[in-house]
Amino acid sequence: MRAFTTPTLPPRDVRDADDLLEAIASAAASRTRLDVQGLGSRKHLGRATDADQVLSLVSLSGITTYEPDELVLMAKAATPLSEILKALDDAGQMLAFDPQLGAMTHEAAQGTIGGVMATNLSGPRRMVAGAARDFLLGFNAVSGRGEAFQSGSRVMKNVTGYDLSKLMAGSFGTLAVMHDVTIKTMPKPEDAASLLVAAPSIEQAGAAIRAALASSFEPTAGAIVPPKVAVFSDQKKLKEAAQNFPVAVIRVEGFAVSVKNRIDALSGLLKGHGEQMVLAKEESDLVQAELRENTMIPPQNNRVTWKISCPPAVGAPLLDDILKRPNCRAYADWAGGLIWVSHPSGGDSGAEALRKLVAPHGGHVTLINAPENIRMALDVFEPQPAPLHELACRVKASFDPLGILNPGRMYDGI
Amino acid sequence: MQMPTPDQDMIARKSIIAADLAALIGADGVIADDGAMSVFESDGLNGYRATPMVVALPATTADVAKLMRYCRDNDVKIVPRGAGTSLSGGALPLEDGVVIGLSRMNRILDIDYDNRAVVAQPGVTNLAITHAVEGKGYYYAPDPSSQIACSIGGNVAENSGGVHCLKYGLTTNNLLGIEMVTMDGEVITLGGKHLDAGGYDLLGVMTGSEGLLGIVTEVTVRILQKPATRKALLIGFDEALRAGEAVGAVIAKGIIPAGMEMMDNPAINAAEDFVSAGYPREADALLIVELDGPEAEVTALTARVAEIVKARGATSIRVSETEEERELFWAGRKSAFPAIGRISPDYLCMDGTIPRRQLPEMLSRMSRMSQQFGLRVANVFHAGDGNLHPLILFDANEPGDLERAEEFGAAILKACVELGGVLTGEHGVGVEKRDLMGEMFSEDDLKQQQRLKCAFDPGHLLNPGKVFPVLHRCAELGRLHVHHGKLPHPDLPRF
Repeated sequence: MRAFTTPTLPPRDVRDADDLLEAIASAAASRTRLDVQGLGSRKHLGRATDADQVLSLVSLSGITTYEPDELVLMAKAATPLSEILKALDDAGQMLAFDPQLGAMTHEAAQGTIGGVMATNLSGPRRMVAGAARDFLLGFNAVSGRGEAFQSGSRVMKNVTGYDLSKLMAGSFGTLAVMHDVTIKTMPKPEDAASLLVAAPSIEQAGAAIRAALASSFEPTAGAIVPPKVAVFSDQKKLKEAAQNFPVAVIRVEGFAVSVKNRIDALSGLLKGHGEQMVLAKEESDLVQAELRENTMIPPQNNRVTWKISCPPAVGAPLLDDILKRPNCRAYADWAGGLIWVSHPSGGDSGAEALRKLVAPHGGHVTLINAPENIRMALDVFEPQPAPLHELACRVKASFDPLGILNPGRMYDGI
Repeated sequence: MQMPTPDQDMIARKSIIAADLAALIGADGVIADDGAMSVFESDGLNGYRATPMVVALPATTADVAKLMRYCRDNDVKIVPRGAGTSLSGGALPLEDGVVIGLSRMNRILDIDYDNRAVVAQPGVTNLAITHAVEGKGYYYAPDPSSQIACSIGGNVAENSGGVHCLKYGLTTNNLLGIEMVTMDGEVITLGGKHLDAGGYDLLGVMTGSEGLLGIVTEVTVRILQKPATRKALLIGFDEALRAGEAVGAVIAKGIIPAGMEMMDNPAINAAEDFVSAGYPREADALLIVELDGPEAEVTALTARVAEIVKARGATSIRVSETEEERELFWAGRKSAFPAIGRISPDYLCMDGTIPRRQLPEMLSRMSRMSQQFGLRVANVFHAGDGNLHPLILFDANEPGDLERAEEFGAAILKACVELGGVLTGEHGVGVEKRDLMGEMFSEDDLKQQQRLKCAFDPGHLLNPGKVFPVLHRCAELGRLHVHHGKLPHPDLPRF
């Protein structure tokens, strides 16, 4: 287990962008290691940081520009996600990458837009719409050197200089602290529906999703839910459909006329794959929210949650293997490309076994939810080959040479 | 445009270096004869030319790794090159550098329909990927206008776009993984057939890095199922301002068309003269809106779009009835550049992006500038995403015309930045816009970008002289407590 310091200095609450610059510059001068926080809702992601002081961004809040017809929203980094979603809902728009909200409803969404971007976690629509990183158009930040810089812009077609937005997304605050972000928004679909297909086996549920994706009916989500996970659903129809068989959940979205047309066409196409049920928008949205929020595999004291990213076609066989492990619950999303696993804790909590299963296919295994002592003891992120890790360390040093921003949050030295 | 001063000592070692490279990757992969190297003198920005010291054409990833290690150990500069179609001079050679051309690495390695992915070597053309999978109804979405010739490796280096970016994204949004070779000769894999590789998103950083960070040796892209139906609307307006508003209104109604292109009157007439697509010659602006998807959706949305643009004052609307007609609608737009080439001896193609609502302001500024510089301008836009391609008409044989055209172009790009936009939407910075980077970025912004470069290439051996107007030594960039506001090292090479 690695050594770990808890902050000893009183938290530093920054007032504005200038104050952030001042705070980081003085931290750099005194080599004070900072634990960068918004509302703390994503604190359980990644590794614990070795920090001397909490740098709180909560005061950096508020939407500064929102132009729906330009598909652009600019906000201070610690603007609550719920506030962003409210503004988008009012204009009939959305964050198309479907961030985890930590809640079933927009009103109850947890955390900040900066936290969403820093962790780069995306929901069911990610497989067609792109990840959080694809929607970060630009940002203003202060590097670990205590220097202000910006990158990107408010336009969506831009190749001027390196695309640092991609690098900032998913960097867990280890490179620089963003204080303003520019996000690409998208129109919300007018309608949605999900087709449930109860297939005789996981493999056949996977085959139904593959067939749907090989059609021109444009599904925007595809999940496989086995009975032992569906039993924890609050959605009656999903529970019922998955009573005895694994269920393929295939969603379409768009204009109402198109949704009806495509769901009918998919239903016809997948006849023979298993018994079917169609969920209209409201029920479909709730099922998708359960899939997004992992509510069917909630955090528990004696369990950890893993996220597996793998080539979609191996998702079904991998899921099958994982479900055979004692006491494992798991379901697949992204047409097989994402597997959520609830694994009993103890020993390495399944780390080595899961990574061994995934390695031959390419992909990675990330610890998403676990008590702190377990997160301290395990590789939270997939270990990287040495040349890649060394390059990542040099990238870190190019932004934060003193290692004062969220030290250790991702890897040793990063 | 000033390039780094060639190192004469390096050039004197040319024959030794050529022989060393031949020993590493085979004599058939090395060209050192000036005549044979002439095809590598320039890329799509053909106003700029230089004969490289040596050209190396690796056949494998291992060859690339050997070349990189050799160049690092011997301090030899490298200019990576795909198909040489860059419009910003990204592949402009250096007289004291080796061009590493990826054209021999031109095989598709894996077509994986189950994972909806294609793995290709970097020299495969963009269109060849679509050709390889279209039999099964798939295609690769990004479609730069050079797609018949440009390579997928070059697309990664430039983050290439096309007319369908608004709905389908640029290269970066369609790229799943790469294999690359670093300046140290290390082979690194980023991403794959899975999504969201853990760790830093170096895949995202490599995309659009213009050959300054590493050489891509293998590319994995996602392929999409072809839409069942496509229809195009040809919409005329007697005021460009209204056309601009109509574009915003369509998006505000929740419709993201597959493509939304705009042409101004000079471009309309040049294109119509060239292909007779039935464009309304009297219109001040023309919109081409393409809708794709399931038939029921396309039919419904076509009617909605027609309604929206009518309410915004469209003077003519035609909807394509057949696939041939849809292609004819596009033929005019796609031939806009050669069409302009017919009415003017020379033209410069610019590539800025602005927030869409600034379009009327930009158009009026452009017409003022046109008078000021005494040069005509025709405009084609990717209107949906605000990406402008003003074509500045001039005659290189007229003394001073080229210089005025370049000044006009720079003035347009500066205006783009002033209006909240950017210097380049899809063509890249290269050498063309290098010296304008200061318009968009502060000294600290640029230094941070260059520090990132130092993490990949501390010796500045990869494509030096591109993208950054001032070449800072990595040691200097790494120093803390740099003074703000003034340039601290007047002795540094600036070009």
